[in-house]
Amino acid sequence: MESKIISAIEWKTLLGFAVALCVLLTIGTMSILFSNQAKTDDLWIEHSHNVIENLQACFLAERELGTRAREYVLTGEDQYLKFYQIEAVNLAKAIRRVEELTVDNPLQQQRIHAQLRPLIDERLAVISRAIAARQLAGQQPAIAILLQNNALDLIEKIRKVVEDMEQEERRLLQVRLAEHAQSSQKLHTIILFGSTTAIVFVVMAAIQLHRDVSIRQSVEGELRRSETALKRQTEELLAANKELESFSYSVSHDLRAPLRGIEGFSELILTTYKDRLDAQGQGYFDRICAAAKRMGILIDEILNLSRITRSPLVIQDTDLTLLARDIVTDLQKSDPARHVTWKIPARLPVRGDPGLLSIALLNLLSNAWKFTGKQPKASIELGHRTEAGENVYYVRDDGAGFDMAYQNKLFQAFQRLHTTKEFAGTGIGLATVQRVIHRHGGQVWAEGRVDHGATFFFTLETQKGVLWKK
Amino acid sequence: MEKIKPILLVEDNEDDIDLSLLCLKKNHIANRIDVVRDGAEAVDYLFGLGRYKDRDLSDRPAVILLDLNLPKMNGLEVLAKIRGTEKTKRLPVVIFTTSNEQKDIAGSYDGGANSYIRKPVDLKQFDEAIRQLGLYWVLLNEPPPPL
Repeated sequence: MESKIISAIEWKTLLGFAVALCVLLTIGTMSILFSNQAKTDDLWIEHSHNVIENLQACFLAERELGTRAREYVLTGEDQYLKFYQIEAVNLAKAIRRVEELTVDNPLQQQRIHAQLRPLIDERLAVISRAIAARQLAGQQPAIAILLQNNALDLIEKIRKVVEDMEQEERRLLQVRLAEHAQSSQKLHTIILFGSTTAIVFVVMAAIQLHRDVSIRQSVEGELRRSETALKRQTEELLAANKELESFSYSVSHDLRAPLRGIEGFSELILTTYKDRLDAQGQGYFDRICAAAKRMGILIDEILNLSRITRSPLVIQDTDLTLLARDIVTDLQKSDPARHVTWKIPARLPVRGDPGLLSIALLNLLSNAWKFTGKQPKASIELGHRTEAGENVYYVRDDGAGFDMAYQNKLFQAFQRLHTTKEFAGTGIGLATVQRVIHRHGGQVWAEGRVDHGATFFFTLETQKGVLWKK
Repeated sequence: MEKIKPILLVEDNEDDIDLSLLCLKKNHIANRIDVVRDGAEAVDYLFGLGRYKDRDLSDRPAVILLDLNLPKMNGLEVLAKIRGTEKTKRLPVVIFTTSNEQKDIAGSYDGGANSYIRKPVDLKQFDEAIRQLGLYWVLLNEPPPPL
């Protein structure tokens, strides 16, 4: 019982620590996952910055390219043409870079392919035409080409497209930044919440542990106190037993001695002074003698009864049939004229103290013999049956029986349901049987009806769970 | 002719003493009966001490009828003294008592008693016990040689 309590408590502690461990493991795993996520987020943010930078490069290259073209047209100096060509290469590079970077974004790709590239191509075509015009026709026609309405519109359109694209990238950047912020917020929350939970469980487990220890200590203390109490009780019991033993001894010795005096001297008067006593006087002395003898028998029986409680129990394999046969033989010898049909099984193996069980059987079988004594034919049975998985043994007779109203008196010492005139006896036999059965941890009970016989049942704890095999 | 040996009765109960003496007499046991009333007196008698200091110790009893429950020194202690002393260790001792406790019976035999008789309550049985005791220990039994 106590160990169960302790183990239940320890389970709680273990559970607390286990939950804390699980929470910590989860937090660890999630931290790794989230930090991976954050790394990806960072890459994307960097990516956005990259795109924006390249778009700006496009914008700058485009503007620079325009400036160089105008300078060439105005001055006609070749170095500007060279600068222009470098810028054109830069622009192409920047656009290609943007194209590569936004390969995952259909909108941007579409803008590059459908708008930016054609516009740039167109602008480069206009500039090429202007350069060609400068080289062939001089400054004025070239400037005219550059200042054409559609040429100026073109610049505006290109800038608009680049701006749009940049705006889109900036929007994406915002989204990514927001996501990044959200996931790191989440991670913080999880770490905070998880750590708090883990701490709570660890604290709870620690409290539980503390409680376990104090409960264990108190249980142990309780146990020690019970042990001490038990030890004291055992000592008291031993002392009481010893006292009982010396009491029984003095009963055996000191109570019987005066009886011998009473009986002996009454008998002496009867024999020595017989002629001086009338019949009534002799009758009185007869009764004194009979009473003293009877008391002697009673004392002996009390002693026998107490001996049954005091003698050590020697449990061994025993056959009730063998014990019963000896008793039956003796009973039959005591009155060979009687007709009694004995029903005894071939064997009735039990575990018990053969000496004590023999005393119990002697009392039960003698009772059956005694209470069937007034009928010409009688039947006495020793048997066995199984009731609710328990072995029940019984001694049944078809004799005088008894009134069930008095069954509670049957097993009490000196309680008799018949007068000594009807049936001899001291009323100690069934009390003896009960003690023997109780010492075996069993139960004894009786069923009967006046003039219809009686059955005495008993069980033996030593026999529980061992079903009797035929 | 050899002198008739006495019987030593160690008994504290006057009724039992009288009944024993009566029964011995009734059964024609002619030996002298020496009665002592407690364990210490029994020892004095056997070893010539106290008021028995002038007793002739060669006049050894044919049998000692020894009760167990005795004042001063109990029967088993007296028995131990008898068996533990060279001069008396062979004396026949019959435990003659009211008790039939296993402990007493075993203790008596362990202490070297020659016999154990339980005194019956019934005078007829008591008488029969005395008769047989006398017959056996006085007439049939060959006494031990003195040491």
